[in-house]
Order: sequence, then structure tokens, then C-alpha cells
Amino acid sequence: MAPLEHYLILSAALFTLGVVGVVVRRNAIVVFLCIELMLNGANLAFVAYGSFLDSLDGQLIVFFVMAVAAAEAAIGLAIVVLIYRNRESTDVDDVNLLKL
Amino acid sequence: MLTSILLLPLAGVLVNLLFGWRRGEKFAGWVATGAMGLAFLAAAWGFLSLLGLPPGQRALRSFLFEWIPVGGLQVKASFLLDPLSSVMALVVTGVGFLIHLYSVGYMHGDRGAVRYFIYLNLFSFSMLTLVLGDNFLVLFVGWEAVGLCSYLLIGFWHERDSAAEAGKKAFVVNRVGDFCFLIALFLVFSHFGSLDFGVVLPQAAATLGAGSAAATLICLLLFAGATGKSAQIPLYVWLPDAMEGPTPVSALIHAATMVTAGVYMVARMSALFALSPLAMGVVATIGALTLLLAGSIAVAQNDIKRVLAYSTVSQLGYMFLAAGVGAYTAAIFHLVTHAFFKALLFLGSGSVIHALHGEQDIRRMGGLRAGLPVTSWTFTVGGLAIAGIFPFAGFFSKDAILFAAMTSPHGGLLFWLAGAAGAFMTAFYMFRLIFKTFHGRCSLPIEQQARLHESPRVMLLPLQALAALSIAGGWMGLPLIRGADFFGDFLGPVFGKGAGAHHEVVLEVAMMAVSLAVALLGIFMAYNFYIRGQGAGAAYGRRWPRLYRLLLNKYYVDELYDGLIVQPIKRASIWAWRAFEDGLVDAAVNGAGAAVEAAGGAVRRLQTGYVKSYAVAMLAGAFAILVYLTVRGG
Amino acid sequence: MAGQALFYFLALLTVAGSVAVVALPNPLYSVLSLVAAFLGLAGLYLSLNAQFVAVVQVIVYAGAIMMLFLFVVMLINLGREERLPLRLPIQKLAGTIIGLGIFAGLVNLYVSAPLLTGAKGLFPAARLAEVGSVQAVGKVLVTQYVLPFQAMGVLLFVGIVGAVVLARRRTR
Repeated sequence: MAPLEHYLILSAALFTLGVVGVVVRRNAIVVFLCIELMLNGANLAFVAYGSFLDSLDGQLIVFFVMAVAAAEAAIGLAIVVLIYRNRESTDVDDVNLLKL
Repeated sequence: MLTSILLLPLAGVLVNLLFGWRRGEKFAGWVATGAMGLAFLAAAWGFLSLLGLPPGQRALRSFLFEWIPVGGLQVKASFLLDPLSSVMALVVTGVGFLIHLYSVGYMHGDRGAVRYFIYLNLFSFSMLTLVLGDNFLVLFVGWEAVGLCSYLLIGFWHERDSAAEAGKKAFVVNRVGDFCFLIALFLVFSHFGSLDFGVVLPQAAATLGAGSAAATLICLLLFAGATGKSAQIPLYVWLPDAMEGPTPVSALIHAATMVTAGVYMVARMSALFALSPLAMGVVATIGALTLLLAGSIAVAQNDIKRVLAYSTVSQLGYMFLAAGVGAYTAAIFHLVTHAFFKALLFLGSGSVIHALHGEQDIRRMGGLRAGLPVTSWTFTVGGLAIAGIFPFAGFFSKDAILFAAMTSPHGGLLFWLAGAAGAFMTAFYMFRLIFKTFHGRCSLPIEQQARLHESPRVMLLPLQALAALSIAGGWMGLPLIRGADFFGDFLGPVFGKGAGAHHEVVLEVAMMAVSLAVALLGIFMAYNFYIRGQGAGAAYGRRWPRLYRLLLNKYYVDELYDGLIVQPIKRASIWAWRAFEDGLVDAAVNGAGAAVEAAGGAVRRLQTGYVKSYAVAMLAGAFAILVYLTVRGG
Repeated sequence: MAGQALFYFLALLTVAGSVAVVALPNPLYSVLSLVAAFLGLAGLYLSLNAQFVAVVQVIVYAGAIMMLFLFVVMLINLGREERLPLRLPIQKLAGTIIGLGIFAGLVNLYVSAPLLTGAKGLFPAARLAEVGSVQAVGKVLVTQYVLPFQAMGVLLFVGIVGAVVLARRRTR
């Protein structure tokens, strides 16, 4: 089994790829995918730590994170569909309704 | 049982609040009336259980819960049924029940009838809290709550400006008295460290000392509170205006119960007042002056309800006169009989107004006896009772007051003269009212005469019941015969007196004869002016135009108050509004707003509205935290 | 050694999939790349003795959630991202730099600080092999973590209702 540092660096890499994707990509769905990527980076760190500390808590937290991710995906995609219906586009850089 | 007296009207309020709006006025009226009927039965039961106890120990206490347990201040929500509060509770629930019953007929067809019955029950609940409270604070809560209900009911027809104004006036004037009352409570607490009647009153003499300045101050402040609620000089001005409310309200609140709260309070605090001869003197003097002033105003008024209102003020003056000379039993006795006949008179006037579709000016009435037989005879019974004609109720109670005014150690000839003069005026203005309303030529248009109709059964029944009480009510306090003064024996222990005080028979009979003669003279003069010599009263008015105008305009007291108090306060308020509100408060508030707006304008460029900007800001924050933790952890 | 090799293979698969997610212009390919990355992650979980999470990762994450994305992509039929002139350049640049900064900070931490300072838990690999990993997780889930477990059910329910309410066509 590889040492813990390797797992952690891999998780940091996944997280950073997610961050960069969120910032760089314009398509809302891809932004979402990148958020999933960030979540999975954190998941990996949880499971790795849990495994190396002989604990199940890491796995359980991952389980809960997945549930949250599922709920988030359902709601987020519904919002994307709504935005697409209204504007014929899913480009997050076009959406600046937060500013009046 | 004690709490059920209180809770039944409250239950009526709740039921009507929940279901009354939907079920309509009939339901609401009968629920309210039923609640009061049951409360009366509960009060009667309480009265009977008191009678079952030996005279010295007649007191039932009911402790509900610790209300304010804060450090040295321990206030309990507890209630006391002793002979005094029992009599008050019987009057409130009994007369209240009849007036509720009457209201079912009187308010029929009014859009706000449900609201009316809710207020009326709420008032009964508040009034019972006032009379049953076992400490100053519960009494004060009831005191304020009846003030609120009074305000709500005076302004019941709030679409009318005059009604809304009258409600406001009553509220503000009462506030002056309540303020003094509150200060008195503070003083009591600072001297006794408690607000319980059971603690304060028995210790009063030992703690304060007879004739001490503290006792005098507390008593005068308490009495100032009473002048507000019970419409005495100088705070009586709100009561005549309070006639803007529905007539049964005038009968219940502004004649039979609430306005007597001040008398009840002074009687309840008799142990305190006994310490201060000065305060007693003030009470008696104010009472005497009020009864003369209000009685003389009533002589010249032309609005049927206003005559009765000034009559109420005058009768309350009698009660305070009695309390001031130490004759608390007589004061409460008059309170009870007054509740009977004044409620009767108000309800009778309501019946007249009802029949005439809102007409209140007695100059346009006359000869209504034919059209309104029941109202007419019951009203006359009330008139005889208030004038103090033997054997009606008022005779006994007024006689008891006059006798005490003369013979009590605090009394004197002047007080008796004031009382006797008041008795003369009472008889005169009352029979002026009766003659002008029910006798003589009818001055209504023919078509209106034809439509004249007696009120429905549900309104006549309370009139008849109250008439019976006005006839018989006095016999529970028979003077002269030893052991027959049931009322005095029942109440006596509350005021620390043995039962059956000794009366000098010859003097008392002589005084009875004099007061009876004075009352008969008043009636005779009214008869002469308004029946035999038509317009003789008006002729006297022309002969002394100044005096007449002075009386008609109520001694210009309202104008005086307006000029001396209301307008200066108004001007000061307007000045303060301009100087402080606009110059200081508004400037500060607007300045704060402007500063925020300017700051916001400066930093609004940070907000782009793009999600991405916010995400980057969040990342920067996360990065900062990471760096901080790394540095600190290292 | 075999374990090491397996780790590097799976890590490579995962990173490659992730890079593809960010880099490919067509959202459809992004979704499929993410599925590949997730499969790599599932393998890593297996190597960490976390069989339960590995299976859930495949079934729920790659199987269900990603299918949901796929459906939406198909539904609104997005083509490849157009090559528009770069918008919000400052944000994008700053975000990338900060992201890389976070990466650097994390790696620095992992390399420099001692990692396993916490107390050991109750489930060493030997015990897991004895009772079975899925069984152990299930037991802990419905005993120690039963409250969050129930709360999660509520959350998912709210998510379903929210999605339905949001995406439903307003017929008026």
C-alpha cells in the first residue's frame, strides 16, 4: 500500500483541479462537475486518513458527503434547467442577476 | 370557585374570539350573557360560603401562581374574597349580567356586535380582577385593564370622530390618575417591602405611624388615582364625554361598576387612610365639592345621557364624602344601590333612545309615557330611588351617608349641608328629566310618534329586575333597628369595626325627615317648573342668563383645561417635535442612513453580480485560513 | 510493490480523468471523463480497505448521479463550449493562481508535518477482514450515526421535492 502522503497529495490535486475548473469553465454543468471533483478530493482524504487510523468514521463521512452531493446535484441541475429555459444558455458568466 | 368567578367571563371572551365571528351576534350575545350569569352564580356561591364562616374570619384566598418572584419583590397572582370584594363581585356580575342581557336587544343589528360582547366580557373579567385581587399589583392590573376596556367601548363607534375623541380623552385623563396610583404603589413597596394586602394593611399603623407624612402622601396619591377612575374633581371631565359609547356600556362601566373602582379602592385601603386625617379631609372635601359641582351642572343639561353622567359624577361624590368621613360601609352601600338605580336609569334612557332612533335631546321629547309604559314606570322608580324617597333604595344609602357626614368624628355641619344640597339638586334634575321626557306634550313629529314602540322583551326584563332591586335594595341596610342592618354587619369587620354601631335614634329620624323633605321639595319644584307652569324653568334661565350659561357650559371647565393644560402641552410638544425630533433625532437617523449610503456607494464596485467573483473571493478566504493555520501550527 | 504499482496506475487514471473534465470543451465528454475518474477513485478506495465506499462510489456516484448529469446534458443538448473572447479575465487568473496556491500549501503541509498524530480507531485491517468491512460500516451507520443517517434521509427528500418544484413547468 502506498504511504498516506501519496493519497493526500492526490486528493489535493483533485481538489485543485476542481477549483481551477470552477473558476475557468463557463458552462454551468461543467462547473458542477468540477464541484463534484472537489468533493471527491476531500472524500479521498477522509477515507485515506480513516484507513490509516483504523477507523470507520472517514468512510461514514464520505457516505454523508455523497448524500449531500446527490441532493445538491438534483437541486443544482433543476436550477440549471430553469436558467436554460429562461435564457437559452447555461453560461454562468452571463448570469449576473445578483447585482441589481 | 373563587377563580371561576373570574374565569367565566374570560372563557366568554375566548369562546367569542374563536367562534363568535363566524357564528354571529346572536351566538356571541348569549355566550357573553351566559358567562356572566354563571359568574353571578359563582359569586353568589362565594357569598354564601362567606356567610357560613364566623364574622371575624370571613375571607377566602385563592393562590394561582407566583407571578413575579424577583429578589425582594414577591408578587403572587392571588385573589381574595372577603365581604367587601364579595359585595363588589355580586354587583359586577349581577348588574353586569342584566346589562349583558339588555345588550342582546340593544345591540341587535349593529355591525360590531360580536366585538362589543367580547369587549364587554373582557371588561367584566378585568373588573373582577380589580375587585378580587389580593395585592396592589393585581388590583392595578385590573385597574388598567378596565381603563383599556373603557377606552375601547367609549370609542366603540370609532367611525364617529366624537366617539374616538371621547375615548382618547378618557384614556389620557385616566392616565394622570393612574400615574399617581403607580407612584403610590412604589411608595407602599418601599415602605413595606411587599404589595400583599394581607401584609401591608395590618402593618400599616405600625410601619407608617398615625398622621405621618408618608401615610398622607401615599393616601393622597391613591386618592388622586381614584379621582381619575371615579371621575372626581379635578379629573371628572372625561366621564360626561364617555357617553359617546353605547348606552349599556354607559350603564355598566360608566355608572355601575368601573367608576366605582375608586371608591372600592379607597375602602380597601381604609387601614391606610385611617392613618391620615388630612387625606381623609381631602377625600371628603373633594367628594362634597364634586357632588355640588356635578349636581348643579346636571340641572341645566339637555342631553338625556349627559344629565345622567353628571348625576353619576355627583353620586360618586357622595360615596367619596362618605369614605372621607370614615363611613366606608355607607359608601359601599351607596355604591351598591347606586349601581342598581343608575344602571336602571341608563338602561331606561337607552330604551328611550332606542325607541326614538338615536334622539338624545330631552327638549325634543315629552309625553313618551304613553308609548313606552314599561320604560316610563321603571325610569320613574329609578328617579325616586336616586332622589332618596322612602322606601326606595337610595333613601337608605343616602341617609346613611348624610348621617355619617354629620355625626362622624371626621364630619361636620358643612359636609351635611353639601350632602343635603346635593340631595335637593338630585331630586330636581332627576324629575326635570322625567317630566320633560315622559310627561307633558309630545314634541315629536306625528309620523315619529306613530312609529314609537316599546323595546323588546329582552331589554325590558333587565329594566324590571333593576327596578325591583331599586325598590328593595335598600332594605338590606335598615338603620335604627338593631340587627336589621345586615349590610353594615356583613361589611363592618373589613373596616375594623364591631357590628351594629350605636345610632342616636332621635337625631337620625330628624335627619331622615329633613333629607326626605329636601328631596320632596326638589321634586315639587321640578313639577312646578315643567308640568304646571310650562316653560317656567326656561323663564328662570332667562332671568339669570349668566348663571344659566355657566351651568349649561359646565362652568367652562373643559375650556379651562384646554387653555391651561392641553394647549400649552400641545405647543410644547410641537416645539419639542421641531427642535428635538426634526433637529436631533431625525438628523441623527437620516445622517446614519446617509453615511451608510455613501459608504455603500463607495464599496459597491466590489459586487459584480457574477458567481465567479464570489467563488474567487471564497477561495481567497480559504487560502488565507490555510496560510494562517500553517503558520500558527508550525 | 504490487500495491504501489496499482496505486500509481489508479492515481494516473483519476488525475487524467479529472484533467479531461476541466479541459474538454464538450460537456458530454466532461461527464464521461468524470465517470472514468470516479472508477479510478473507487479502485483507490478498495486499496484503502474501504470496500463499502468503493461500491457506493460506483453505484451511486458514477451510476446514478453522473447519469443525472448526462440526462441533463442530453436534455438541453449543449454543444461544445464556444470559443468566445475571455470574460472576467482577472477573476479567472486570480482563481487559478489561488487554487495552485492552495495546492502548494496543502502539499507543503503533507510533506513537512507529521501526519498520523491522532489516536487509533477500533477497526484495524485485521478486524475488518474478520467481520467484513461492509457489515462493520453498516453497524456503525445505524447505531452511532443513526441521527445523521435519518437527517440525511430528510435532506434527500427535501432535495427531491425541491427539484420537482423547481423544474416543473408552470402551467397557468
